[in-house]
Amino acid sequence: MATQPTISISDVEFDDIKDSLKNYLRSQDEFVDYDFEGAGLSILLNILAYNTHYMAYYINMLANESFLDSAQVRNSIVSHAKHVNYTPQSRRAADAVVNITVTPILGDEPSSITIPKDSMFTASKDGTSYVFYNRSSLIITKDSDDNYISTGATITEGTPLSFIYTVNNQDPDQKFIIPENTVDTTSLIVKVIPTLNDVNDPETIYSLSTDLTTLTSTSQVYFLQEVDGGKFEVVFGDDVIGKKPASNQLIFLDYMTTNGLLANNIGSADTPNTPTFSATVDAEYTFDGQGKFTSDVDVEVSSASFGGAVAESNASIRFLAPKAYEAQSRSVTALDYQTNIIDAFPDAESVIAWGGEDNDPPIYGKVFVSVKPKSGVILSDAAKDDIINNVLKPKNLVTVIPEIVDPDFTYILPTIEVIYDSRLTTKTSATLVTNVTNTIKNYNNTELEKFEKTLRYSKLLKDIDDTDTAILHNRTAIKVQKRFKPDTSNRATYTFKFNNAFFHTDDGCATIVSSTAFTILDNSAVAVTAYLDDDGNGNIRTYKIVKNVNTIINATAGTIDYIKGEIILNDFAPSAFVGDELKITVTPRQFDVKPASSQILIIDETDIAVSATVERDPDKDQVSGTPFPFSLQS
Amino acid sequence: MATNRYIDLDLDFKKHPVTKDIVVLKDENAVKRALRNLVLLNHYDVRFHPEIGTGVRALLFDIVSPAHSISLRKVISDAIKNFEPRVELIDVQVVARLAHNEYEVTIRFRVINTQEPATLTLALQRIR
Repeated sequence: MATQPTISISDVEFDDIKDSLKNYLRSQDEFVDYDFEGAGLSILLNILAYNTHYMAYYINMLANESFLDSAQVRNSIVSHAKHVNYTPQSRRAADAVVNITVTPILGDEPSSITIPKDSMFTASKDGTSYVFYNRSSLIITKDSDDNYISTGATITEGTPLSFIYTVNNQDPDQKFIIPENTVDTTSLIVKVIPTLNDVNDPETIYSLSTDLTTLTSTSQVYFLQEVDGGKFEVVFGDDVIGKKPASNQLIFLDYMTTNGLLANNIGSADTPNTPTFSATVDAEYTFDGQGKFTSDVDVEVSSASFGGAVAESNASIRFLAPKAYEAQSRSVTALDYQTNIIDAFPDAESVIAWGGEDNDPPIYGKVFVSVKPKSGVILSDAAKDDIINNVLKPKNLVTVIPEIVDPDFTYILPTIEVIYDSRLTTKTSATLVTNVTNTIKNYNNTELEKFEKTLRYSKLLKDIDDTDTAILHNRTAIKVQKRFKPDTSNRATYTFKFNNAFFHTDDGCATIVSSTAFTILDNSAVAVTAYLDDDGNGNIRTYKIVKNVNTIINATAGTIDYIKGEIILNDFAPSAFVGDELKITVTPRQFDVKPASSQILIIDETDIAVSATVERDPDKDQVSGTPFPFSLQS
Repeated sequence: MATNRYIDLDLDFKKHPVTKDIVVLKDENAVKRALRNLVLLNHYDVRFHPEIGTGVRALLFDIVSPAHSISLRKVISDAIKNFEPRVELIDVQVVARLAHNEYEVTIRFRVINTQEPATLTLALQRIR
């Protein structure tokens, strides 16, 4: 018995659908010719298949856009986020903390000088000029030394703008949209101004609604939501939940547009002789009953600009919206801390939090947070204060003290020799070396440089092998390194927690520790260039090189715990060191390097050592190149 | 009794005066109509298969000239060879009729497994 013909309903590709229709037509004898492209029946099949394909695609997209996880269109993602009361972050303006010194006209000694709101402070970075403004007026009083200094003033990068709407409640479609998509919504001030002839109704400032449960019909609040093109719309209440502005009242939107991320880290190279900021300020004061101005203003950077960020990406909304809903604007669990910080501080690239009970040593009643910013490697003190006071404390349990600690960077030093077949490529060995170096940089950017990211040795090797088809294999050695700036004035004890066991076969084995050079007093109290190593028995030694021979200065300068992966330098007192930091390098026991809580693994581009060797003779190749250093590692 | 090997729908969808059904085209007529459809197909008319078609509309955009006859002859021949397996192509002739601002296309072919040659004549003219 012939099989009943069927039409597959699961095909979505045009060709599959058409083939399915053809298979169906083959089972009957009314129609032929469907297999010939010019035939009328084939043209009809094209239309049917295309229509089915179009509908399948449309329904697929419709289904995709219906869920936050799969939505691709920005409007859909924003709309889904709105369901969980999540408003995407706008751009964020960078803030710099500065000390402003104003000098009045010679002979004048006013009691105070005022720098008006939105005075200009100009700086440049990478050839581009950036303008900062003080978002509130600064009143500077004369100090005991007769100077006028505003200490710790915050200036914000961007352009202050304003926009005015006239309320028309007869228009049901009226929207109050901020016309710039580069706005920083945290700078937004919404004022409702009465009609000019109504003197009894003063100007009022509406605030952003953060808690719906406290609102009444007279609450002067606004709501914020993202609309088309990344712009933001200000929405007012309906006289039931929140006060509704009356017709003919004016909505005054005062805000800043900003360059966001680009303006971070301005002022890090500020010195008194080369100030970063130049001020265009008419500082006002009154002296001898006369109003006067001075433009003699000097700006010293206290904290380089930080916190600038781009508008929140679709991926970030997908990630954060459900977690923000889960955290309910409270920081209770460790994940809440991470979510709230990433949510409120977009410059954070990676955040980790852990309770004090999990700290080493345990400190109860505290929660520790470590933040890796997108710009730079550690947060400035001003940024830390900003996060603690404005992000964490309002949402924190009252008995828990949040503390931000700097990420603990452990540098990975890879030494790679790639062996390649020169017949399989036209590239030079120098090009291969460059390509492999780029592979490692890419591995660092994608697989490391964040909390809880482990160095997977085999993955790194695979990436290196996959760099070019001519690469036959590679030999890669890994070392780990800590960097620090020792106190050159006082003795101090330093502890370095690598949190990974060190390579150690038995007591008295060869040294695995090395360091960059530093200056220290030897046993004759003479300042000499010295280095660090270990004796294979758990001691860190300082030594100097005399006629190419290592001569021990102090055989017990510190201790090394090979199992815990920890080095302690006791009473370490160098008077100088080479480079910006002193570096201690150790060979780890395991191929994979796993970070602990606040630890971040990072590969410094300058530490990547790559060489390329041509394999000409397989037998010879077995003994060529650098001997593999980890043959005894477990 | 001989069986019709090729039966195709007429895309003009004319009604048969007796059966009241849609007129169908058979054998040589079916192939001729398919050839005409193929010649008039533009690239990208068939979704996801831009290779199918001749692109004669683009060539008709220019002023009628004998030089374009050569191009037309090539694209029509190629399309038939590639996409009409029922046909053994004998010849394609394209004559530029300058006075009428049109090309006269004569396709001589033989339906596979038949002996009789057949001829399809088309007049290609710009309509705008």
